[in-house]
Amino acid sequence: MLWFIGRRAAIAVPTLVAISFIIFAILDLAPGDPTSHLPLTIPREVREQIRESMGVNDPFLVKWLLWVKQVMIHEPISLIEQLFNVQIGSGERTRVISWQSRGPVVETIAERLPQTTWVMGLAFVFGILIAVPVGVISAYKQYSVFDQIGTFVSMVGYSVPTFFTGLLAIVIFSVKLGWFPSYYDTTLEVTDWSSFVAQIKQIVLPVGVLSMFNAAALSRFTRSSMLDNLSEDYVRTARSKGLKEKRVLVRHVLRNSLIPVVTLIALQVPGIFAGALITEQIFRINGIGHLLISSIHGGDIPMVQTLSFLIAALTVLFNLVADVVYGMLDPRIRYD
Amino acid sequence: MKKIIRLVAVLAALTLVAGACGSDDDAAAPAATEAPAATEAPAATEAPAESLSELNVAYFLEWPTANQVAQVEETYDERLGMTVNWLPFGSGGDMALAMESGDIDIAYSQGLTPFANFVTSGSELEIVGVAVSYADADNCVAHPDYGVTAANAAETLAGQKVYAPVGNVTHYKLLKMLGHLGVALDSFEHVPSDGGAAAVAAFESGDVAMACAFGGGVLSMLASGGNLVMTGSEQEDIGIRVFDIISIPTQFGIDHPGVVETFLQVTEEANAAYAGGRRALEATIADAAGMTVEGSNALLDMFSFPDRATQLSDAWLGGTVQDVMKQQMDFFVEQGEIPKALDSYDAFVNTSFLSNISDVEVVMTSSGAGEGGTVTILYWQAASTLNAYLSGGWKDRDASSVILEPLAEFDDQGVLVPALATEIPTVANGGVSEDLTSITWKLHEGVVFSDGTPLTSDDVVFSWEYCSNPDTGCTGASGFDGVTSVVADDDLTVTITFAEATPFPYVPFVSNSFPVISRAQFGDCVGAASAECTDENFGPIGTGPFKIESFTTNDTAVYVMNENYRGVPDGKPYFGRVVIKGGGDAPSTARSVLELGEADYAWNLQVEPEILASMLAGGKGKVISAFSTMVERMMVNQTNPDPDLGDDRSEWLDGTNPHPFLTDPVVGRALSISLDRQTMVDVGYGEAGRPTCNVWPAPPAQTSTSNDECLTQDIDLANQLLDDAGYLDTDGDGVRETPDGMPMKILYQTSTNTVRQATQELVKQDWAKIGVDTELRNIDASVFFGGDPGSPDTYGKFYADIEMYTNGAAGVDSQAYMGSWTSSNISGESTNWQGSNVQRFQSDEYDALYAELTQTADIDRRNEITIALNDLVVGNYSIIPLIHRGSVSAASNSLTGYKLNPWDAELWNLEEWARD
Repeated sequence: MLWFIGRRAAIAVPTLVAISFIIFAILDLAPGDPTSHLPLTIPREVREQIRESMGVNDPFLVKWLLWVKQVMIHEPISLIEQLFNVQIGSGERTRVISWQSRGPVVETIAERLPQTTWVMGLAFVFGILIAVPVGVISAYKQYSVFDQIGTFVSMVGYSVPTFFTGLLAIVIFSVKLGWFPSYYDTTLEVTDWSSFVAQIKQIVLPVGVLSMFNAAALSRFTRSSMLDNLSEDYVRTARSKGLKEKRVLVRHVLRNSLIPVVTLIALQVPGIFAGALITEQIFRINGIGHLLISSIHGGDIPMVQTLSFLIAALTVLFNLVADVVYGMLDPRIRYD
Repeated sequence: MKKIIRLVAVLAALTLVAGACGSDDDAAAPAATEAPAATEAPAATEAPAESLSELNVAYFLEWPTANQVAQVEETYDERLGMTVNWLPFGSGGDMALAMESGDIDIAYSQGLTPFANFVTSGSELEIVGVAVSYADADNCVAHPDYGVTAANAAETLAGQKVYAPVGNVTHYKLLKMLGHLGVALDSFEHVPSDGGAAAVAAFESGDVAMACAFGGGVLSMLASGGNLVMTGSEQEDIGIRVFDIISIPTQFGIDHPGVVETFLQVTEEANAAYAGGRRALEATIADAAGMTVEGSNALLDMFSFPDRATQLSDAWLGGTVQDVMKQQMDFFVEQGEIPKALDSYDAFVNTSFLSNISDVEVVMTSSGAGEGGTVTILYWQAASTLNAYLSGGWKDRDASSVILEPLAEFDDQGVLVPALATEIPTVANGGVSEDLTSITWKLHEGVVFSDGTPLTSDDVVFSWEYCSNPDTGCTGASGFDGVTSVVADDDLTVTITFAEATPFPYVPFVSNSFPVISRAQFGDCVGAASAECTDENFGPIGTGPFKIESFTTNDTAVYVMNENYRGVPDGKPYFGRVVIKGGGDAPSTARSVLELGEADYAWNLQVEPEILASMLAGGKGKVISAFSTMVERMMVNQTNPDPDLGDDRSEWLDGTNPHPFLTDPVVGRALSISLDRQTMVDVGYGEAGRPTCNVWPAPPAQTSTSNDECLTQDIDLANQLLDDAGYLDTDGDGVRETPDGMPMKILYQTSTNTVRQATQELVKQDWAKIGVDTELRNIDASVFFGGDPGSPDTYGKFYADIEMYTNGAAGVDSQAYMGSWTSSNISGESTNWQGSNVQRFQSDEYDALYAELTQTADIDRRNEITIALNDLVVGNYSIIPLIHRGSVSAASNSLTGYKLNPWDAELWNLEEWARD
């Protein structure tokens, strides 16, 4: 097992380098100009100066190597420095600088991460908490009223995009009923009961919308996986041994059915950090997705490159995690 | 009857004494006012007081004074135990007459000159106090056309008319001032006036070189472009004092000393309350003066109300007042206005009353600054940085303008107003050199940055060094084009020198795009280091009303009041905290303000008109709009973009590569008048747009009316024009051909944007009606507006027949913008497609006119040239203007004080914002 993890980790490094090259190349070679969003009143010579100061006009390979060095070496060191409040080396190293804010990209990302993990994480947890029981009951009582309704709701939840459900939720709960605020106040600090209530209130709509979406897909997977297992021989064996139905269902069927579901969940984890592009935009949550979109709009290529790379790296990592977890859950699977 | 009055008086006195003597221990001091009258000298005061049932006080309307709070609140009545009648008068002379006749007991704020005039001729009056001192509020204003300054007054005033009253202090000041400046008094024509509205009217007619007035008259004349020949403090330096007095008939003082003392005591207390904090009293004073709060405050700004100790000092009643009276009277004798003056005026000042009253300690009340809570402002594009020099985006400039200030800024009408500077330098006031190559700004004294360090002219110099360094990547660099040096003459004076005559020198450090930053903070951030100065860029230290509390880039900026802001004593800013929340999109921010009332203000609402209308029904806020010079226009390619031409497509080639038909003004005219601009507005812009036929659409004085034909769609005329010019549909396919047989097909490109695509569709339909076939194309904005020389789709390359986008001038001046379309700026390969003349327009007449503009300082002529340039470029149809675009914002109903400013930062006057 350890050998397997080590091997996979070793493969991940060239994979990431290749990914970094592809991301960098696609974004860099794509048409576009960081100064294009500036007002036209700024003369073109000044734009050229700005581009020059951003290093836009350097050769491609130079830019890429510099960026790789910054992202893979400089930024992690800076991060460690910040986290543990120590200085490594001279402390003088070039960092990835955003074209829009002219500040270090990684610091901005670090600033945004809490909001995203908070909202996405909750939505993820709630999604699982809803999806698994719904999937189990739907499968166990296949074609019952509950199953029909569950199927209908999850189909709707899965097929209707969040930018629609989000707006719908705002119109109903903010505009018409006035229960919740329509946007997320990022300056709110939880210090007492009332600010805690305010925090809960502002998080309800985005988390609700995202949980719905997450749960929809997951409950379908759980249901079909449960159905597969319910018809297996070992279920009949368990029942014929006189086990209680609950025990059959939870200890035998569910445990086996969760194997593909867990893999799916593990693969969704990077999404917690990647943020929800649309939902964050609608509720004005200053998370990673929001940052990615505003950077794309602003032509802030270093920010987009770094974010994309980060997401790619997390995806590689959690693929590995999924494989490992799969192996642990299913003793039949051995990688070495 | 008398018995009853006496009883009331005694009761009132008793009540007062009892009230004042709440505690036996400290009874002495507060009782001082009434107690002496009631106890120490009962025989002298009480007996005549019997005869006094009410007090008649003379005052001026439209002359706000601190004691008017006591007047309105009837403090005088309570303390005197009698009714006080406040009678408005028109002049100090009338007050003196009324005192002589016994109708008036006390005159508050009588002018010194009429008083002196009356006592000289034998009236028995005396001065018991100084009411108000106002050197600036009574002054002579020079008309801008005549260019009178202190330096050249003798020459410029010779033979001209001067409007001034006769026999009062204004007259005295005029004569003293001109004497000081060496102007012969017979060298100009003195037109007598009353110093009020008539003087302002004469001034505005431009008939007079200088007009002298007091109060609001001075303000109106300054507002209409006049300049002070000498400031109030300069005049005080040469011994010209201007103040009003408190006077009484001498006999009244003998009969009722207690009443006079109480009157002075209440006045003293009112003055002390005013000195402790004006803001809370402003409305009451304005109301009593019969003025608006703004008008009253403008006068109060120039007033001071000396306290008892100051009044008794040598500077006032201790001798100076007597001397000034003597001087004035001697002066009028000299001028032949009066026959003779008295030898001494000492007998007409009686300080015994003032000496008997007690000092009142000034307790500073809070000015109210920062007590208005939080204002939440939504920007759907979040600020990326707070350093306006590192981002040309308006969102960033706005966020930066809350902290940083320029020397001067444009107000919501496009008028230049001083910010850190004391005044706007002009040629007339000597701030701009005669040859137009330098401008000298004077900074306000005592301005400090939010960290407490003083602002000096060195910071201004540094800001220039910072931005003009090419490695800084300063987006405002073009604002300093042509600046050869910025020099600190002294701590508060800075001179900017230009390489050549610059008729409009109000670009460097004018508007919030070019603010003053601190050398102490940014000193190490010049050049390439600028990018590493994240802390500085995200938290600049400025002189503005707020300072940063927390900033998360591309998200939220939270500001708190800057306690060191110079407006704090006046209660500005009202809000203590500002949150600029970014993100979302325009409709969602509009909804937050208009429908939900969650936020106070939402910026730049590019929202479809019908959606905005439905949100307005929420009733929580209102929509405001303002227009600068932004115009959505079609650029009409004057060169041939045919792909078959290879590298020569859309190249000017000295005019050898003209477009097959778009250089013909007849075609341009037909294309223009066939468009229905109103429908474009209704569909895509609503409040945020109006049809226009000019590429320079504002302000009115610079707006041409000769192109207005295009405002009404006229398909028939367009068809007629094309028919007559030989553009006929010869092959019957519904598309006209040029006389050379080329079909009139137009490739029409713009950036990707729903409104623009809707406009494109409308245009295509309209043009189909005149037999012109249109192919539509839209390109992603980041490519279209980008400068990538490798991309064929940039607006600079213009590989199409017509392209559409919005542009406008960076400020109110047309020069830089009109320079876009000179021949030297034609875009093409030789300039890497960086030229601003993207339609490849060429006109020698235009070039010559533009050259004249760059050398012209006269405002009227500049306006004429601007109109002519507009007409040339529009009349040739190389530009077809469509929509004059405004900015639209939303404000909650409770918010006040905001003024949507299309010429400068939207948050330019945040210190004035308040909540009902």
